[in-house]
Amino acid sequence: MKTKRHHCFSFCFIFLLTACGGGDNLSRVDSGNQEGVLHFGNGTEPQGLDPHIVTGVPEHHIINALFEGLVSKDPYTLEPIPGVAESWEISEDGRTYTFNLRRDALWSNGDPVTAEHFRWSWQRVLSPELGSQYNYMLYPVLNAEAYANGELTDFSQVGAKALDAHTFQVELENPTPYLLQLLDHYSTFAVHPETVLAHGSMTDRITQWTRVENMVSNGPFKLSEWAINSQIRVEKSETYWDREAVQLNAIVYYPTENTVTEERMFRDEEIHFTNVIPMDKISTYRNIAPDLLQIAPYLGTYYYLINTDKEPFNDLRVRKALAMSVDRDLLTETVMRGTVTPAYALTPPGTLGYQPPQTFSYDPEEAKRLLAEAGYPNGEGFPSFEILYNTLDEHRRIAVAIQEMWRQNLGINVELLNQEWRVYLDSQDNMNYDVSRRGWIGDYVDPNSFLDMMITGGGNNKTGFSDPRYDDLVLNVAPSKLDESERFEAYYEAETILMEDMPIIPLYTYQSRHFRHPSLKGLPPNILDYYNWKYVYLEPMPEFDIPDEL
Amino acid sequence: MTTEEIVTATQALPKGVSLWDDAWLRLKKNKLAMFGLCFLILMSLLCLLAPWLTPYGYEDQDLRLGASGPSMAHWLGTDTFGRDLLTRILYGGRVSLMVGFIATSVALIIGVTYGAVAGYAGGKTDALMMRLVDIIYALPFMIFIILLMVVFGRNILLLFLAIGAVEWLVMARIVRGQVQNLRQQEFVEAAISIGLSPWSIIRKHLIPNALGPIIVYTTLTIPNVMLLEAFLSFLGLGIQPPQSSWGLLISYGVESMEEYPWLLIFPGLALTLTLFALNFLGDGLRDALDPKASRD
Amino acid sequence: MWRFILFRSLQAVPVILAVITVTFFLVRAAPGGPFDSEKAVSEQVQRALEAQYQLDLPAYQQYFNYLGDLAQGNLGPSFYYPGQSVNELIFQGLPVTAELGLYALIIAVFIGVLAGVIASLKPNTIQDYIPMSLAMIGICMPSFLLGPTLVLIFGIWLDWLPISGWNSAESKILPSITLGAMYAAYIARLSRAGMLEVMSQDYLRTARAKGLPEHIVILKHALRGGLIPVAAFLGPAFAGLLAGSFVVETVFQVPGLGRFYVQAAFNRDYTMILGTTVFLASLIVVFNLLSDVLAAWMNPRLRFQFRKS
Repeated sequence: MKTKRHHCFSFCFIFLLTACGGGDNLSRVDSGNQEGVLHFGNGTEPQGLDPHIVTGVPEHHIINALFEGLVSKDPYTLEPIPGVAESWEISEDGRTYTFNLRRDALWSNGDPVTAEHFRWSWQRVLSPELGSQYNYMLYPVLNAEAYANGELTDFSQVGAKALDAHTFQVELENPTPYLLQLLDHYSTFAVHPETVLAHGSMTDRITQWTRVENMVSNGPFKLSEWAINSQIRVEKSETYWDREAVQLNAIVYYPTENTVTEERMFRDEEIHFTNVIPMDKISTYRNIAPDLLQIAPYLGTYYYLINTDKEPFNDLRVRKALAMSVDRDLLTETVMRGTVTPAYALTPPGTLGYQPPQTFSYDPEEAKRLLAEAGYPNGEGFPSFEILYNTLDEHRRIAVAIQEMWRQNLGINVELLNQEWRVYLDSQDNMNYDVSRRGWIGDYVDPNSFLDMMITGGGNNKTGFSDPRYDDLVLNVAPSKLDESERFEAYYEAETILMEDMPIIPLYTYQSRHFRHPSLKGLPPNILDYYNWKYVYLEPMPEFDIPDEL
Repeated sequence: MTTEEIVTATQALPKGVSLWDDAWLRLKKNKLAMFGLCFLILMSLLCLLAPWLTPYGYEDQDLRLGASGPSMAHWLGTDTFGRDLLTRILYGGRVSLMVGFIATSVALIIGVTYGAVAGYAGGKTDALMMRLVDIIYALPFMIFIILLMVVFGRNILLLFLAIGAVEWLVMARIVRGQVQNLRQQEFVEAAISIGLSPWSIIRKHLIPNALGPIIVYTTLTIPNVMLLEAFLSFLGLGIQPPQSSWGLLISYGVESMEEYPWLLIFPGLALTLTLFALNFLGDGLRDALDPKASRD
Repeated sequence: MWRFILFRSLQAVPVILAVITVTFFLVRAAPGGPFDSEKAVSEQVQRALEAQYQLDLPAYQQYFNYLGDLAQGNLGPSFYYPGQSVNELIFQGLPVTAELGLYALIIAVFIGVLAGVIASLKPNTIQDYIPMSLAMIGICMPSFLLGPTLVLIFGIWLDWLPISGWNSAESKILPSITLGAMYAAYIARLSRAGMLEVMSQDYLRTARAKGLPEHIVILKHALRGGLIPVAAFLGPAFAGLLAGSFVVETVFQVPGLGRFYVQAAFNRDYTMILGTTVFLASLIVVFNLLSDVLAAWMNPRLRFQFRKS
């Protein structure tokens, strides 16, 4: 019952108000269920759709529908499953991977996907001129880092070769057990070289090849509409090799920046799935419609950085006192409404069976003692300092609670400093902070994705932490171990060193939080919050309505 | 008579009932305005005396209690941290009233002076001054705020300056328009002819006659200023948690308006009632100060 | 008069040039760059990014390059959305925001003038207090509060209207009302004041004395004079509306220019900030000129002054 009276709006809006009062229109979710169209709340407007340039999660959701890598992931188990490569062999020493590309893998314009396309694409990602911010995903490949840094200019020396049209061979620096996981990341996807070159050079960022009218892709869906700040629509691809398995006809992505609006869109059945659940809504939904919540462990840690270069934080006892006087159980239960779990180490527990060490616990008495030992009995004489966080409601809530915990437990005076996102990044980069909030989401399921960050001088370290034993364990010992339990032992030892030094205060392990309409199936929760669109389907539920009491 | 004698004569004329005494007499008769004035005084007193009026501190948390509706212990309920809302409204009122008062005064002083000078001078000076206003008006405000935050750090005074620096522009345009109008009128010509200095003409004749629009616009500026403060604090310029202001309390209240309506309603009520009182007072002041009405 | 307009149009050039210059260096002085992200990037990548957007050139050279491009109407590529040009983005957002602003102003003028006139007919009575109190509430009610409240009532409880988007006619109702409400409140106050001023003047007394019915007096004579302040307010208001629609556009997910204008600052999208600012500056200059011309045309004394200069 859509009316088309755009232009006489001002005269008839009162009539429309009453005319639309029937409420007999089909909701977007219901009509989507009938037509096989998924309406998806995607957080923010994606910056772009070039797999080698973008960096964000919203982009990831769309690119995963448009493109497919050599391997893909089973959304239930996160095990690698065949993608463009129908099979692969791994050499004895774990350093050479040979991928056999399927012959029926096609681009959306009908061209076959070849090994050369992957080689060309990897060269593109690693080209210094392109400035791909995720090029480090390919660093395990032989000589890739040297090429990316411009130390090596001959790409044929990099361990990525097209042996023939359908055989792609990858040689590695070290055996990298998580390599197959990386090949599911969009920075390792192939793009269609002729299309890219038709709209600019190989390394142009400012190019129009990703526009609707130009885009050529190889995934289960193809781009059909891109209206900035409004919606992006992808439709089932006719050329995709596994098109039989694809059950959705289309996915529409909405940039849902305002979380209050997003929740209301969900409640009004305008979208099937939301990017996030606003904190204040949790209890209401838990009481009335718990089935609509999808909350699951997520491979990420929320923590506070401590500037260890600064007085008085260069004193280990002070750092420990701060870490031990935060009641994580209370924090996660009350402020975070039980949507997250307490964390006592950098790596989330259960990362592929790896259990991080727990070197401390909540102990305000011991914390007080340590602070007194450091020369600040009952917090006397302790200089006032600031907790830095970027402007976001959740960060504010946590900081407010911790500020009060430190005041109560240690008797110290803490102020809060919230900065706009890029100012905050700048302050962190220049070590211009006392204590600062930070979160890290693993790029792949392996402790390395977290521990790698804290090496001496690492770009993501940002605390001044430096320990040669730690560096050796993470950079040399662990990567050389072929056996998983030995490798994890090395990581465990490294993480124990890290937590004994306490340059960071772990607070909680993330959980992904979404509202999910019950008609949406095949989108299981998993630790990477990863969606494989070809598994997703809609089961019409005409009798279901979102409860009015919400 | 010499010019000097005329000046003394004109100054001697309204003796006994100066503009302000006269206005005060008339204001006192306006019940609504007096009600507004009393309400404002009462509200300011409550906010000032907050530490003695409530048993809670504005930062005292009770995480286990969380958000709870109005009760005997907490008359207006508590927020999600279990902090007493009444206490937070009273402390927040200090910030909001102060911002409303100081930032608006800054805007008023700069805007009125600037606009009056431009309007009086006319010609090239006027054109130059008003084009400068256009330039500042067009600059991207967000970047300006981000820079301020970095260059000067966090400072409540800075917040007032930043707000004043934005709000004076429109005031300047309005005053300049009024003054330009008045400039052509006979009484100004007369004042010039008796040799009064431009400054005293502006001060004694032009601004008092433009007071009506100035007061109306000021009452419109105060709510703007209070909400702008919330936005800037939200961005990190200005006050930081656990401190709060009415604007901030309202913006947090919006997020949970369905779950915890009291978190929106009570701060909203405090702001709205105060603005109503201000408005009554403003209308009363305008009527009382209206030079045309003074002979009625 | 024409000389005045020509003179003022010439003044616009240095104004816009000054705005560009100040903004150009202001954005580069702001901490944090357009390519910063939570994950550290290598030196090499940072340099490559800067080279792609010519940020490796000396600042003055970037500045003159920008002016050169601008002279040809080219606002440059967006730094935040790779592959999109600022021209394209502005021309995508502009029609939406202009439409939203137009509806909002129509609503504002309609409701505001009605309330103001009704109130002015019987000042200091109930007929005055009620509309003026409503106007006051409108002024106190920021869009970040009014928007979600309207959505709650009409979108969720009554289920009459969509919650977000900008496609069907129904979806445009709530954003327009939200944006219009604040202006309606201003206009109500302005028109009440203007009407009260006019009502006491002699020519209206004459009209009444001639025995004209009251509604004719009001509609034919009083309104024309009483609404001058409203007319003067509308010009700058429309220019300000484009920048001020950010909150409404975010709450209702409207793909307009207001979001670009504010987000560009957060994204440090240098060219986008400059592009939207230049655009806004031109609007402000044009609308201020219009309102000054209007004021001059309505006020004979000023008109005389223009002839002299």
